[in-house]
Amino acid sequence: MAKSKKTSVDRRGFLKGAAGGAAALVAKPQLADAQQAAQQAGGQNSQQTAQNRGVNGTAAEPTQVALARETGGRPGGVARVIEHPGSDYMVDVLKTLDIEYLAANPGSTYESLHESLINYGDNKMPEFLTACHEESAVAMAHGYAKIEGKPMMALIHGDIGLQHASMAIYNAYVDRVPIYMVVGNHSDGARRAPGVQSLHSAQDLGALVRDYTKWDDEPLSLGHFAESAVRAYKIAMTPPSGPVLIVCNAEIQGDPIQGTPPRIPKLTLTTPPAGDIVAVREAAKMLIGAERPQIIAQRMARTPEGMTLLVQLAELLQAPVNSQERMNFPTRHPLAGTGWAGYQPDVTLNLEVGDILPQARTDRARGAKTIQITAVSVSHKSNIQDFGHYADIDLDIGADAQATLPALIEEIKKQLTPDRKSAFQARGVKLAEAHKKAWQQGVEQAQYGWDSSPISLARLSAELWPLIKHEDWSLVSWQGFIGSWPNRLWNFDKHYQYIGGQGAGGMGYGAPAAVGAALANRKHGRLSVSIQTDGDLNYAPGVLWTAAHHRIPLLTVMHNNRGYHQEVMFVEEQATLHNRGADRAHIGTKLWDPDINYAKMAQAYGMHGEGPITDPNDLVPALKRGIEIVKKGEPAMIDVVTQPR
Amino acid sequence: MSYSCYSCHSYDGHGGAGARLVPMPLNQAGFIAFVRNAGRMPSYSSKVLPDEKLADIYAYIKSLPASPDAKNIPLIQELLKGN
Repeated sequence: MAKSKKTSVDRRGFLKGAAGGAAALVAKPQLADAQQAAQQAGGQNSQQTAQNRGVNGTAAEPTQVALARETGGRPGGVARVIEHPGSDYMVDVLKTLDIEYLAANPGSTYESLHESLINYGDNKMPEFLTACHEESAVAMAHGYAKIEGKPMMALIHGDIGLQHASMAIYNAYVDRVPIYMVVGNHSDGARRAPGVQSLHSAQDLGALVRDYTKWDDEPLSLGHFAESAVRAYKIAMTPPSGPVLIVCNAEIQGDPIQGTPPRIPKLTLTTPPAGDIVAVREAAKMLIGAERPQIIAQRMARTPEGMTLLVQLAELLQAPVNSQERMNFPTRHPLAGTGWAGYQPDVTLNLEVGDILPQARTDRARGAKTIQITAVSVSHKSNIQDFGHYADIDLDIGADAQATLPALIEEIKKQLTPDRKSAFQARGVKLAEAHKKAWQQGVEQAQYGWDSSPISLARLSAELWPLIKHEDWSLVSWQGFIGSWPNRLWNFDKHYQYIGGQGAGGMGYGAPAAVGAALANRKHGRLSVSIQTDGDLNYAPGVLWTAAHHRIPLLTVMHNNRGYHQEVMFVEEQATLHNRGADRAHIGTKLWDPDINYAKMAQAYGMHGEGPITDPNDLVPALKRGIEIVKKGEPAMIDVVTQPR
Repeated sequence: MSYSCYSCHSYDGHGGAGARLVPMPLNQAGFIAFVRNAGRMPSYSSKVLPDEKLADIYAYIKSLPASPDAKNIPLIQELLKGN
């Protein structure tokens, strides 16, 4: 039986009727949103968005365009063209900042800026990289900055995107790394459509992450945007570096530029704060007078120049250098390490050390003096406790360590007497012998578990080294969960050869940071290698697709120990503490049953994937195949099943 | 595996976060005493790990093969030359 046409109402007809009926209630001409808003304000200046409200300050009636967006229909007869949106000007501003790339998961709060970036801006400077998660976008920027020494941009969608990104922002903040973030927001409540636009917007978007960003602002006009965008870059780069956030109003993005665009101010970077000269002289005096000084460097070398300066200082003092967190000091330098067996420092020089308390306690116990140079002393917040404990130390120089080193080196040269120099040389000979012995022992220890299956991390690191050592290589992953075997076996002597870890211990940093660092390395022709932990990758594995899609050459070698292994050990510890068996510590911690196949995961994301490899004798052929692919400009993954640690 | 020793000492006792167990330097009594009052590692009481089970574990560890000597691993010898 034919359906009665009188009673059937298809969806299109229903919506058309609904839109038409609702629109009849809107006693406004059929104008574009922006023009309508301007008329409501009583003027043509669409930048005065705060005034664009309905009668009695209530939300304005929805425009036809807004209504159409809500109902899914198309407005009839509305011609809407804005050829020069504010977001074009924003792109002009961003181009003055020399930002090469941005990473983003797309979102409607910055849709106008998105379009301006890829079309008006020709998708260059910055180039748009598609991320599958905002956390990945920010972590990519984190890894990139540690190689390139300048920020990458992360473009973030409203409050939901910012919440996604927050873990990565926190990691970068604690790691003192500059990240340049722009987040879209439908700031004007009167122009914000009901529903999704409201859900994705906030009154004070920066507040969500203010405790762990250096600076944030929400510009209210294009001129304001220019000033804040330039200022944000400057603040991000000033030590202690950190993430900055510009909230980018969707209305300002989308409204047409009125009149002559505002002048874009010139970027002038702030010189890093260097230590007070009186304090520097005192530090020099203490170090020269020490019999067993020790230098401890964490986030000290921001640039290759930092490494050069530290080598100069260490050689001048003939002091051992305990390098942590970053690439501060060459690993095979005779002064690398903590000194000979039983070397008890009487003065420690702590350069950008995060939590000074453990060192200070140790120094106090042995009657040693503690000197600290860190920019964090002059710039930190209250809520998050990343600044560590308050500690009894002897000299606290609130300044950037790298920027202070030239003055410290000069002061030491001025104050150094021939007899102290002679004493230093004798110390240096002993330190070099101790370093050589420690290094040899470290290498020999690789023998343990050499033939094991699952594969030992020592074997994995040892087999990788001959395959990369003649390349311009860069290890873009953290060594904390792999026993620092690369440090023990490889020869690190360039700043870009190691980028350190997450900063705040937040997992999920590793994979995207490796992609970001590999992105930075790409133009320099470097071979980027990541020894990737499995738990970390599983937070947001979509970054593998980002690497494949954007042709980011990166060799990912899985440290596949099938679990969140640190937590396996922690739960075991608790079980024995509670006098209960540790045999259930795998519950909630292991990633097995079924085993995840990372080679297939990589293939699913469009990159070469091989494995799982369980026999150490199969390592070299697989690694060689992976390296060949990476050298041709593509990412590759080798899944290696490894010992837990 | 049952008692999660592998998580720190590796699947075949060659160490990791924890000490190398192979070759085992302690006799059985010493091993049991150590596990009961371990110091750095968590201690296991007789309630969770009876002496008989510990004895089995000890025997198992003693059966595990030693690692090859560094002298017989060409790659390690190359590394020791500074290569």
